[in-house]
Amino acid sequence: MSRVIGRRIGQTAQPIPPSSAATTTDITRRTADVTNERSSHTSDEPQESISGNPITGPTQPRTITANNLSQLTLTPSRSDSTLPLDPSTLEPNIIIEDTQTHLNTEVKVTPSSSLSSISSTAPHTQCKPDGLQPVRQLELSSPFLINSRSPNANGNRSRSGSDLPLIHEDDQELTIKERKIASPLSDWDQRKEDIIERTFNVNESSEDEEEGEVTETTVHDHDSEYQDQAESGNIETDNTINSSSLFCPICEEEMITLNQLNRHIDDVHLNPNATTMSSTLPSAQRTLKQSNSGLFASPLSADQSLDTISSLINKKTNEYKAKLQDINLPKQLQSKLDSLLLDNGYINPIQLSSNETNSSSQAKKQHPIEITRRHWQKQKNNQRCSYLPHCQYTSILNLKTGIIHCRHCGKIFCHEHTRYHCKLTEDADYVDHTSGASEDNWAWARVCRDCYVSRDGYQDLGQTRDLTSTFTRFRSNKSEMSDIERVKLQRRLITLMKGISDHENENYNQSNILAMFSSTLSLPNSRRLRLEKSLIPWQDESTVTNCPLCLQSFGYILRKHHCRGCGSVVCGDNMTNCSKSFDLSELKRMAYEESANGGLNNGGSSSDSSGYTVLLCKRCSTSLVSHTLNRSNSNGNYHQGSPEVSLIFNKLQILLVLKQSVELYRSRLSQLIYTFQTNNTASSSQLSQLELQRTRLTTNLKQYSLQTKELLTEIKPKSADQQALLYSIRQSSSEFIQETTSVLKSLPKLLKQISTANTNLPELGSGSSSLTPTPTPEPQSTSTASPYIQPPPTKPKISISEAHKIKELRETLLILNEQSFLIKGQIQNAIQLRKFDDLKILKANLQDLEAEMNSTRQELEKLGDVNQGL
Amino acid sequence: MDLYKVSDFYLNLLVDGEDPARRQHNSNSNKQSSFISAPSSAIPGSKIKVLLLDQHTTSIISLNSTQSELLRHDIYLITRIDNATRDKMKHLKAIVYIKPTDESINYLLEELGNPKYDTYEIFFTNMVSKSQLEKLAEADDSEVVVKVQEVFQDYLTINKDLFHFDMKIPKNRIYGDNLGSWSGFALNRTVEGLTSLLLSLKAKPVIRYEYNSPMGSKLAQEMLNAIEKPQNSSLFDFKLADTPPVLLILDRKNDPITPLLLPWTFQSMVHELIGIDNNTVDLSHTPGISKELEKIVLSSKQDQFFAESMYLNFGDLSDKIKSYVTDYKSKTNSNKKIESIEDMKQFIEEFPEFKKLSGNVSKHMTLASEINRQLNQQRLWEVSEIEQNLSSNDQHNQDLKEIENILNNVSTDPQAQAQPPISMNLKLRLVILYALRYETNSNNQIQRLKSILNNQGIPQQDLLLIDYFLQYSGVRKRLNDEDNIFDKATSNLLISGFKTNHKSDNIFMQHIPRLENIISKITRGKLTEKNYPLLSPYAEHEYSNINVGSNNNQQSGKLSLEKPQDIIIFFVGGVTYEEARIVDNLTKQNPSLRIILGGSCIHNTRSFMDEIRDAGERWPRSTR
Repeated sequence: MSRVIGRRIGQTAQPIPPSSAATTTDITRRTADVTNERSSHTSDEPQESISGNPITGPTQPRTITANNLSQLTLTPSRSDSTLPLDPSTLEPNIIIEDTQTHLNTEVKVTPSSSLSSISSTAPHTQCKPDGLQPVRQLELSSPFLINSRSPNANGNRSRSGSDLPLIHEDDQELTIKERKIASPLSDWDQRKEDIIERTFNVNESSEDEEEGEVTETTVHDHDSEYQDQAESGNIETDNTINSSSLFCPICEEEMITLNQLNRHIDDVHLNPNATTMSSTLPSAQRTLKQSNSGLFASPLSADQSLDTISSLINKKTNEYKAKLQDINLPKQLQSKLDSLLLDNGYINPIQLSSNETNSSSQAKKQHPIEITRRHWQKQKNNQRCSYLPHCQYTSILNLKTGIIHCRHCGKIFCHEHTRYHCKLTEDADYVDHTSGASEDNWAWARVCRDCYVSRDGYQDLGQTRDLTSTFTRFRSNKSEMSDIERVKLQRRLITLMKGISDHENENYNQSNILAMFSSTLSLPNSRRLRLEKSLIPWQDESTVTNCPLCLQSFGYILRKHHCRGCGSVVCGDNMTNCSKSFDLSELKRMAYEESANGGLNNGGSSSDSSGYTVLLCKRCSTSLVSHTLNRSNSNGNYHQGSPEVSLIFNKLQILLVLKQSVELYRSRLSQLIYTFQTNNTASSSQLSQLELQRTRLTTNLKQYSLQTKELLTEIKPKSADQQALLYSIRQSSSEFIQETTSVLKSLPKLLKQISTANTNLPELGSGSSSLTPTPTPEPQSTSTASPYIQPPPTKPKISISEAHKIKELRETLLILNEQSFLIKGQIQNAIQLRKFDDLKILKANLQDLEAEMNSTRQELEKLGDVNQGL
Repeated sequence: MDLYKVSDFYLNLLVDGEDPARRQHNSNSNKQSSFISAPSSAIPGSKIKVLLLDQHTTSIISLNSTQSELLRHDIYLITRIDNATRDKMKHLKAIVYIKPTDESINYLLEELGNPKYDTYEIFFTNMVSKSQLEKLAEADDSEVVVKVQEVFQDYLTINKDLFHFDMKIPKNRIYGDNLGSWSGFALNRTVEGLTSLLLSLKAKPVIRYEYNSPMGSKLAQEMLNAIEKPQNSSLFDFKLADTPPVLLILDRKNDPITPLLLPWTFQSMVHELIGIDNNTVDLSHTPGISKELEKIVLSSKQDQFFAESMYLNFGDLSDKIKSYVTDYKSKTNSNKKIESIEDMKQFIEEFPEFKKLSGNVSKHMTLASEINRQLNQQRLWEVSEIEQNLSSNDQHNQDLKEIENILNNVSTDPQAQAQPPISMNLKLRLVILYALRYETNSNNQIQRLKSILNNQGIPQQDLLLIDYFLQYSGVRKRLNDEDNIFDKATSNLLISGFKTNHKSDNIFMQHIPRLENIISKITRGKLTEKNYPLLSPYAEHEYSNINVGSNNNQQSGKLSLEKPQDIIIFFVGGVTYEEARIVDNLTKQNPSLRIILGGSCIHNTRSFMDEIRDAGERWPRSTR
């Protein structure tokens, strides 16, 4: 039965060139085709009224008996019963293979393609009269007049080509008018969805274009509304066909007889909405044509039929255009239509036929697949959209909201949440495009949002490319080169030094190198020059006209200098520093530092400058100096830069340590709060724990805010950077304080709750009630934190104030302890990570803390509290 | 395909140096330890960072993030790399985020020669050349660079689906010295920018353009080259989707109407009447403006109210602001009667949020009242009605009469007499619209309207703009599509699977940009290859399912029929916020569709006219 209803009226068999753009006109034209076919039985009279929808003509309708129908369902209406009757016979591919005519291929795109469409191409199809099902009509109440006819009853076969355009025009007019009166019905959209689904099913045979047309046709054709509705049910129930019983196409309820089904549909699925609709539309009566599917053996050769079709279309188009001019369409629309016609190539039969052959051959090659439905969720009576609670339809799904299976996950959704399409394989899996070509084993299918979005690669974003390794390769190449250069340079300079010292030795026996340096310029200039020249051949200065570094041209003012390191000629401009004197004792210092890095401590380097200098070009001197700079950098020399900066960062370190401990307590506290909130009660030990954590938190926070204030007031920014830095510190700390206080704020309320819950524990009740009235302090004023702390009742002999103090000190001690513990952990960490600079700071911090702890301890001892030392 | 997600992704990469996805994975694998996050370094202070930017990345970062957001990621200092007066702060780790221009690279070279910070992580917004990288490596003597990475963000993100390249006259002209030619710089910039956009979206698109646009086809060709470059092949190696994404290159000249009309939605109106420059609105010319409101930021990412209201038309916007204010008022009222401690506490708790709210309320109030002031002062209600009629109805005589009235400051409304006269710019705009609209109408009175304008005191040379427009975008220059750009919003068309949503009852919003028609066609696979040629970077074997049975040149034809699910649209010659609204609307109606819209800049009527004037003055005079 479901198949019967599933037959579509909106299908057309007109092959359309794939390049054609379908728009309204197109749609109306298609519509016209459909209605055309229908009206052809009524009469050849062209004057149709707007409302007068062509309904059934002399089609000799006959009411179906249950018997007939079940037979129909069982044997899927095929005249040639050579095919097996398993459900797959219903699939178009079989038919395609079977008949092998391209025309049929076009037509039978889906199992649900209607016979009405076939009949519109009837001049070329031949029906086999034998084995035809009797004409039948399924009478439902008004909107559901389901009219099933056999194609031979349509009589289209005998229709001449000439009268066709006439009717066509009328219908054109009709549909245009219809379109005008058509108010956008809300559920059209949903119907559209349904159609899309169909669309994608149809796609199996790659006749994208064709089914696109079909889709639009149905959308605009009021007549087909209810068939569509019925269809939507059909889609859901197609899989039940192989069972021999009848199912309601809408709710899948099982029926025994057709009559029962009829009644069921009337009673259950005829919602008031539908009735009103049918009353508003004059064309309320709908026919649903159904017929056997095996009627396509065309006696004509493909070419012949093509010719006929193209000439037919050609003719139709012209007629249509002529008619259009008669109808007083708005000028714009008409020109639009014209351009459309031209564009779509309808009037070009050659193009048309070539396209057709292409597509038909293509269709033969493709093997549309059927996506499995085994995983489909079974529909319940009170089915809701699986996208709940986010779905707008919170109620039970019905025809209006749509009941659609996601083809991928098999769950049931409403229309709105299955407006997504992706390619699926036969096993309802995503198509893996990487596995080369993926042939034709996929089909477009309707899926739910989640399945659509969770496709591999759909959410991908943010391509990046890491060039670090390339960079380091370049860098190491370069630094190797420069290392070699530098070593060469150093060697030369050492030779120079040796030469000088040899000379010294000649003059002053047994004097050491150090002594040599102290004797300034003891070397005669001429000898020295010779020595220096022997290091590296000097560049011929006559060939150099410009300084290679600063590109100034040499002249009387700009002197030429020879670099003693590399021998090249550079300028002696004091501004550019292209050449400068290099103190040889620097080299010695560098050597000391290097050896110091090696782990040896040679004691203090000679800080005395011998004044023995040598002229080096910028390149050589930087290669010498920057190397040593590197070393000191890698040592993490933090004490570069202005004193303010280092002060800021020292303070910031302390702040961050404090912040860390605050974070720790905060997380503990909020965890406690969370457990209280969930349990809504608390044991006394838990409560005291809570109090402890809170005190620690407040004290730490107080310290933190004090430190921040100190930092911000003490340091006067000297530059824009420092100012920005301080601003950032202020911002982040104020945000942090706010965040933390918000945790604290939630406490009093909670404690109140707990205290009311724990009224049986009086001492706790009183303890916590003392907390409640005080509004949570602003962190800056946390000095008031101390009053919260109740004197421990276990120590009555000590005076209240003393107890207060002891308690306070204990708390401080506790906090200090924790902090030192934290820092110790960090020290361990630093040692492990070999961050020795961090270590210095941390150790300094630890010392400070320990000093404070000691003083606190002493104070406590003074007060006689011996039990300290937690 | 959400540009906000992209920028968040990159930002996380920058500040945390870690792929967020991977981090997610890590935290999943060891959930126990994630309770108290272990400090990544020995002391927390060593995490403090400085962000070094250049002029390009400054705008990128400021569009995508705020200072406090960065602060949360331990970025305590944000500064420019070309700022020579930076302090030496060896305590800080530097994150360098620059566009690989020669200028910025040179600054970076200097910085590396004398490093001011501890270590350097370098990020580039686009592809860096090998020679640039070598130079940097050579400069890094002290080996302070610990990371070099390319991220691809060489564009400015305005909305979650809107980007642009900020190419405005006079600095960055896009039009060359001939009609339909690129200026060389602009073409390079656009190709670079679009390439980075595609990479950031991980999209390897087929490219479509309008056949009548020389600039579009040039760009399309260049884009194809950029994608197919052998050295980029590893970058453009993405997982294939069901249908390839589409890069649709449109030319502004095919729809000159949209940027010439007064828009009526919030974001558009602010841009039209006040001006938005990369999400910043300069209100300093507004009379009686308070100091803190002189420069405000309008970002749909950070401002929830703006995100909700940016596409509302002026009427709905007023309602929305009204309810916002009422909401605010009810909150203030409730806070006025602080009687108990509980009340006080609540007030304190809500205070920061409250303060933020009040700031936001006054911001949007100011904007709306300024818009309203401008509308009345410039008599835009009247003008816009004529504009809309002009753009969407064909009634020459009536339009002509109305325009003449406006030009001559004649008003049928007695009250209007007292109003200030309509500005010359507006009059000129009306005549341009008229000229474009009735160019082919044999009765058109362009010359007469010009002489009226001339009499009104507009110099002859300014009137040339009308000719420039006809030269740029006259009827023969436009794409002869089946859709007329002057069509009214007929399209409550129920096209299969494609929803649009128009309330055409608003006379101020009758005109529907051509873009909507194009999008609706492309999503149905109906964009003809004749008018919109296609270039595909895909090899034969990829997407072969499309090509089955196709012989020779059928391949691309089949591709063009595919119904794309991801579309990237680029407007050569500037996009408008109105079109951004259309895109947003369509993607909301059709959730399976993802569209990113962009242009060389974002136009309002003024900037569009200025750009055409600037270009037209350089074009050789046409022989018409």
